Amino acid sequence: MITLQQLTLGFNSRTLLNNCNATFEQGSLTALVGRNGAGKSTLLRVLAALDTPQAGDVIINNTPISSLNAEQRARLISFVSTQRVRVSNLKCKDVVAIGRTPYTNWMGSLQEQDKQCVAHALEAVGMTAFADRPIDTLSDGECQRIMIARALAQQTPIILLDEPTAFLDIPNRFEICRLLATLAHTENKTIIFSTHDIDAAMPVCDNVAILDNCALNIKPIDSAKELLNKLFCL
Amino acid sequence: MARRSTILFTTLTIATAALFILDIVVGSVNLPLGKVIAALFGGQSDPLTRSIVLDIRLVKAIMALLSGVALSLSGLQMQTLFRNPLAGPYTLGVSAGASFGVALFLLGAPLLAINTHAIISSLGTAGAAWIGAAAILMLIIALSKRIKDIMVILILGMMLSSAISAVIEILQYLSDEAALKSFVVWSMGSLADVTMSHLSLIAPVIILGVILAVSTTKSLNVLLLGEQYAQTSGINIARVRRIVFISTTLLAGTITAFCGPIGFVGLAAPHIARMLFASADHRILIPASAIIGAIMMLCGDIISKALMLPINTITALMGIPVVIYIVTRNRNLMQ
Repeated sequence: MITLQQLTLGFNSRTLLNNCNATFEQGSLTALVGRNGAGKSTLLRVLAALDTPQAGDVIINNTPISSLNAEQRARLISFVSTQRVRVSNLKCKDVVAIGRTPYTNWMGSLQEQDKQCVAHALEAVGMTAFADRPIDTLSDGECQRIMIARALAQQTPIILLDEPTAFLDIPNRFEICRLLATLAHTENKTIIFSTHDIDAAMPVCDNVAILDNCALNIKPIDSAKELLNKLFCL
Repeated sequence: MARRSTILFTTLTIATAALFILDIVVGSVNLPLGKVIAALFGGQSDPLTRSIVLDIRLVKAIMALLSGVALSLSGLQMQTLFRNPLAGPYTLGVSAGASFGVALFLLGAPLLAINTHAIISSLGTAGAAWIGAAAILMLIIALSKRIKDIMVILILGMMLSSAISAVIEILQYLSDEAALKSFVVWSMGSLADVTMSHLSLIAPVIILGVILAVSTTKSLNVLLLGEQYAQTSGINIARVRRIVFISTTLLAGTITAFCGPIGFVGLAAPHIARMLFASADHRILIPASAIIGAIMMLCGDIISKALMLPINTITALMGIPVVIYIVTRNRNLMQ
């Protein structure tokens, strides 16, 4: 469970979120929507502790994330960024294995348990057959699945994704959203992803978090229709 | 470890050993292999042969080995930290920074009439090179936090190098003949001026730099995915940056101080390692780059002795084809 406590976000004089209190429930899939520049990425970066808020704090299971060190946080939150990973000679299974970083020794050697975890993560995203393929030979959709598998291998109760469907074609957008819903519900993970893809996200999400006008409104999917229509002038 | 890596490591280690011996056998004075081996392993040999083999050629070969390891590991760390396939001590201006430090010391010390005792002079050269290398690296790290475009960082590195060369030329213009000569000889790059007493300073520093490089193995692997992934995977980026900074300064700075600016080994060796081993894993790339760097420097030394050319012209001719290959093939540079 993630709780935002009087959270204020912004940079310089521009406020993106003002004194916000909100809660994301465990085991739920939430789509974070909002206009360009509303602060979706900034909010995700603050939740992942990549940025610090202007005021307030993010509380995870009664612990403020500002009181944790990088390794403790890495056992709670994993992050999938918009940055495309195209490293030659890097195999998919090695990318997924990087998710094991908080649990491995100083050399990063994988134990039997870590290897099982990597195999399980690849299986969960349907990419077992790609384990030995170099990541730079994959399509954008395949690559995104590998990055999600990497987050799974990190075995965190929370997964944050910044526009995971951005570069994908329409079938892939729907599949990635369905995959996230399955993971949230079968593995009891709190998953928050920012998106502009209302069509793909709505059928599978539990909640919608609407970021508009410096306020964050988290609604169950059924009661969010009206707000969404208003936001996107539908 | 995969079978391919085991075979490659074995082959490369044997090649390094063979080149090391060859490097000792080859030289301006023609010595038969038997005599060289006798001198090396304390067998019967005349004092002159023993002096040539042990004091000159062995020191030089060890220096070739150390400089290859040092330059390639500093290049590998910089390429991963800056996520820039063309990063290296030479391209980012770190060698130039070290040169600037050395120039100030070699050309400036006589002006200030500082005592140039052998030990002070070698310590001073090393210290000046470290400070120069560290200053440029700090500048590049600060710039790369703000500027994400790797081409811009490379261009800035080149501009820094050019600016530094210009300032060094001004210094040369102002200095006297003796100081100028010692600096010009240094700047051509040579393994020959290193003595056994230099080695006792260089070797421990290089070993420290290598230990620091090895200690960042796991972090460098995570950094392949970029800083956001590294941070959210529990890596303390600031700490890694500090270690890489110190390690690179020690490795590239020390070699530049004693052998002059040697280009393209630091840039090319990690790429040859990636291609040969088809791996991006630093657990393989660190030892592989080190061995390949050592092989490049030993080959460079052997060729430079045979053709009587400065070593940095040889390493440039070996490394530049690799750079051209990377520029034409790499997708990260084509974005």
